Amino acid sequence: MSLRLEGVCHTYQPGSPYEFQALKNISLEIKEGEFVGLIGHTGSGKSTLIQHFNGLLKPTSGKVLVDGADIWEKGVKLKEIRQKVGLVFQYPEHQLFEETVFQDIAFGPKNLGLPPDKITKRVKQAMSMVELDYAKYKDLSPFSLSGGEKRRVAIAGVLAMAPKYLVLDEPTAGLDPRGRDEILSQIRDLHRRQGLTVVLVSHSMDDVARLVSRLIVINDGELVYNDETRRVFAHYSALLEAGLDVPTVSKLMFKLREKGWPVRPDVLTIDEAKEEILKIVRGRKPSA
Amino acid sequence: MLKDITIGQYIPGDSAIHLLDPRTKIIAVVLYMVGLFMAGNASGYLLVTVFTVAVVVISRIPLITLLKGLRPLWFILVLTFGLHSFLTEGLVLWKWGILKITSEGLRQGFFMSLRLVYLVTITSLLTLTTTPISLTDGIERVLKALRIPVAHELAMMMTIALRFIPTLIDETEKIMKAQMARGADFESGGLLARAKSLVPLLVPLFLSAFRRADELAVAMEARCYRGGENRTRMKQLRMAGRDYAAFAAVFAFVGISVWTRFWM
Repeated sequence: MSLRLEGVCHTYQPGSPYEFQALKNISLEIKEGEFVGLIGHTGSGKSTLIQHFNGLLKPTSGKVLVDGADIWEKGVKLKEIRQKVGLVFQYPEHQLFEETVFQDIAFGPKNLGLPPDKITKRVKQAMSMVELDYAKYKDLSPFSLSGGEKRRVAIAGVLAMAPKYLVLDEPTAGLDPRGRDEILSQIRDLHRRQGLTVVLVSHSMDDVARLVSRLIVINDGELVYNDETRRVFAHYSALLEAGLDVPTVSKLMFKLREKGWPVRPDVLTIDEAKEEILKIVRGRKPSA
Repeated sequence: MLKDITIGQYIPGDSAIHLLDPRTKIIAVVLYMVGLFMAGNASGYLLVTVFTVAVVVISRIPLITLLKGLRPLWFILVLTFGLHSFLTEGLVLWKWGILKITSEGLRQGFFMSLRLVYLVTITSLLTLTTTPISLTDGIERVLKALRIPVAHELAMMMTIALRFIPTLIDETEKIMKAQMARGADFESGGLLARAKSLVPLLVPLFLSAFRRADELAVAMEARCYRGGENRTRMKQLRMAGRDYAAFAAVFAFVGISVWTRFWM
C-alpha cells in the first residue's frame, strides 16, 4: 500500500507563450506509515507535485498510483482518492467559509455523504487530533479565532475526511513560534499515534530534520535527492547551491569540519551534536 | 474553464500594433467602431473585413487566441442571427406556422453577427497588444483631454481592477482546489445544487478580495498616494511617426466606409 508516482511530468499552459514545465520525470514512492519531508525552494515544483497526489492536477505524462491503482484510469472516483489522500494547502485558513467551526469541519464528511451521527463523530475526532476543545469551539465562528486556531480548524477539516495519507503544504507558514511548535507536535502525534502516513512540505530545515525519516528534495522540477534525512543533509554544499538551507546543527558540524574537527557530517539533532563534540573534546575517536 | 478568460490579457510582442501609443490605439478603436457601424452593404463589410484582417495580421497575435476570446460570444451570436432571420420582413424563404425566414433576415442576421465578431476582435486586440499599465495610462490621458474631472481616479481604478483579475483567478483556482480536496463538487448536480456548491468558493474569495483591497489601500497610503494632483510619470507617452500613419489609415478606413454607405 503506497502512494506512487511513475515518470510524472507536468507542463502548465502547453502550446502558449507561457508554457512552463513544472515537473520533469518524477518517480517516487511514499509507503504506508512513513513520515516524509519534501523540500525545494519557491517555484521548484513542490506545490505542483503534491497536487498530483490526490488528482487535483493531471500529469501531462506519467502515472499516479494510490494503493496500486492508477487514479487516472476510467471509472476511478476522484472523490474517493481525495478522501484517501488528504491535502492541506498552504494557508489553509483561507478556505474557511462556514458560520461555525463545527459546520466547517463537517464540510468534508458531508461531501462524502456520511450520516449525521457519523459526521459528528468525525468532527469530534478531528478536533481532538488538533487539540481543539469540542464543546468550547464547535459553535464559534471560525473567523473569530486566532491565526493558529484557524489553521487548526482548517487542518481538522481535512482530517475529518479520515485520510490514510496526509499531505501538508507548509503548515507552519506565517505562524508565531508557539503556534508553529503546536502544529508540528500535533502532526508528529498524527503520525505516531494515529498511524497516518504524512508528507510534510516545509521551508524550515530544522523542523524537517527533527521530524521526518526520509527526505525528498526537488529543484527546478527535478528530483534531486530521495533518501534518509541525515544522508540528504550530508550533501551540504549541493543543497546550498540549489538555494536550500540545511539544519543549523548540520551547519555547525560543517563549520567544525572546516576548522579541522573530525566530526560526523550527518548529525541531525542537538543531542547528537553534543555527543559528537564531547567525544572529540574528550579525545576519543569518533564513531564512523 | 477559468483559463479561457482573455479579458485584459496581454500577449507580449513587438509588432507595429504593439508599439503604437496607447492613446492612438484607444482613439483608433473608437474610430474603427464608427467605420464598422457605417458599413451597411456588401462592399462596406468587405472593406471592414479587409481592414480587420490586416490589423490582426500586423499584430501577429495567434488566431487561436482571438478565437478563444470569441468563444463566450457564441450564444449572443446565435441569438442575434436567429432574431434577425426570423423577425425581418421580406422575401419569405421558409415558413412554418407563424415562423418564417426571409432572405433579408438572413442577410441582416449575418451582417449583424459579423459586426459583433469584428467589434469583439478589435477590442480584444487592443488589450492583447497593450500592457494594462500603458492602456490605463492612455485612457487617463484621453479622458483628461476630454476634460473629464476624475480622469486619474478612474484610470487608477481601472489599473487596479485589471491588475487583480489574474490574482483573483489564481485565488479562485486555489480555493476551488482546497475545497475539492475536501470532497467538494463544482461540476455535477442541478442548477440549485451547483449554485449552492459555490458558497464554499465565494465566501473565502470575497474575504480575500476585501483583505487584499484593504492591504493595497494601506500600502498606497504608506507611499503617500493622494490622487492625480501634480503627478508626474516615469514613462512619458510620445506620439511617433507610426502613430500618425495609423491615424491616417484609420481615417481613410472611416472615410471609405462612409462613402460605401452613402454613395455605393
